[in-house]
Amino acid sequence: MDLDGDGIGDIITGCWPGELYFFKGKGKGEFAAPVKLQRDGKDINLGSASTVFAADWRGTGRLDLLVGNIGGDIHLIPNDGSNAKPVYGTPRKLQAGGQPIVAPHGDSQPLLADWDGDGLLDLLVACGDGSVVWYRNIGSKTDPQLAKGVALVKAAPQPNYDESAPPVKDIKPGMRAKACVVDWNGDGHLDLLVGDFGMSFGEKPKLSEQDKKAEKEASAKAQELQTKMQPFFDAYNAKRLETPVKGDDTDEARREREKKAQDVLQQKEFQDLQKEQMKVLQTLSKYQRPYTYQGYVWLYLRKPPASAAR
Amino acid sequence: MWCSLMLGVLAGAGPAPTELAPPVRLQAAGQPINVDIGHAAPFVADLRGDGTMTLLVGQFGEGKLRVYPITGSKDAPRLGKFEWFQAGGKTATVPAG
Repeated sequence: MDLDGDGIGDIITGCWPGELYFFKGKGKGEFAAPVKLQRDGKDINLGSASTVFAADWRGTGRLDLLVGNIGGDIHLIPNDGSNAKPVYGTPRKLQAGGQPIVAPHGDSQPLLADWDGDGLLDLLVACGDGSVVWYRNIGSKTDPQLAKGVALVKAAPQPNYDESAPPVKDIKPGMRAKACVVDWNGDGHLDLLVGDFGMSFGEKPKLSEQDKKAEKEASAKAQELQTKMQPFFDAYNAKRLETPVKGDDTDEARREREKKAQDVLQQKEFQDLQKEQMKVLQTLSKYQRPYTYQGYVWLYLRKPPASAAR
Repeated sequence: MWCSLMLGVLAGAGPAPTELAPPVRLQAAGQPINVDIGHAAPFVADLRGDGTMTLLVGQFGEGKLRVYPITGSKDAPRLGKFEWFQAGGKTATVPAG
């Protein structure tokens, strides 16, 4: 995507804390060090686990930004300047069928593509539950309107990090889907690539009596540490969920709340407890079911058209 | 005449937008792509601006980005070994976790 209109492709991405990063393309596969995208001179942050997609959503010739977050919202940030010098306006949440879009299990990732080939950009949203939902554009190029969502990819068969679930035998698509639309096999029809996340647990190791005793002690210690850490977590959540001043939810207010919340977790006392907890959890892991992460990329090809009648 | 009209309509009809084949995992250099600490985020791009396509795959692990070269033919693309995306003269990362 050529974000700044200089004819060279650039890269933009979200990140865990929520800012949006821009890697300017310099040509021949070289890119500059990243800078954060800003609005009114401040870093854009519409919530953690951010995702971002740039496209001319409103038919103005300028690239707008669509932003997802951990809560599952889809924000549109309009570009009221130019591609070379963007001026990002007030973010607003996108709606479909009269309701704000919220991805199930949060972790929304928006992308725009003309999925049904009718000449209008549609919205697709990859979701925390592993699904990918298509919101058809039933408006126009300059006034997009979204129909109620239709699932192209269903939710993951099981929450792949359920510690009580039996060991996984078949490998299946996981959660926290991240999608991309592309004609993968060059047949003229758009396909989907979907990245995932999952955690699967193996069998619990056979433990000696000594191991069982050590496990019980480590488990008790972990619980004790969690109890000491809980007031910090409560204070962190209270700061994050403070009602914004004047009742509006501006970027700046959100940023201030997040910063005050993060300050709670930066205190030395909490950091020391956390370090001790990491050591205890590492000890405990020897006695528990081993786990592995998955992060596959799944290809969903568009099915070929029906054969012509004879 | 009616039959040829039907043929014309059906030949022009594409697959329904909601009909996708069962998923298969993409492989690169003979192995399924499996990124560090999951959260794979794919994107296909012409990174060098010379018409050669690459598969970019973001990951949670250290907030890095994998770059897989795409070779083979248009109808049977193949993925080679990845390299880490570089920016500003070093392996690029964004904050993770």
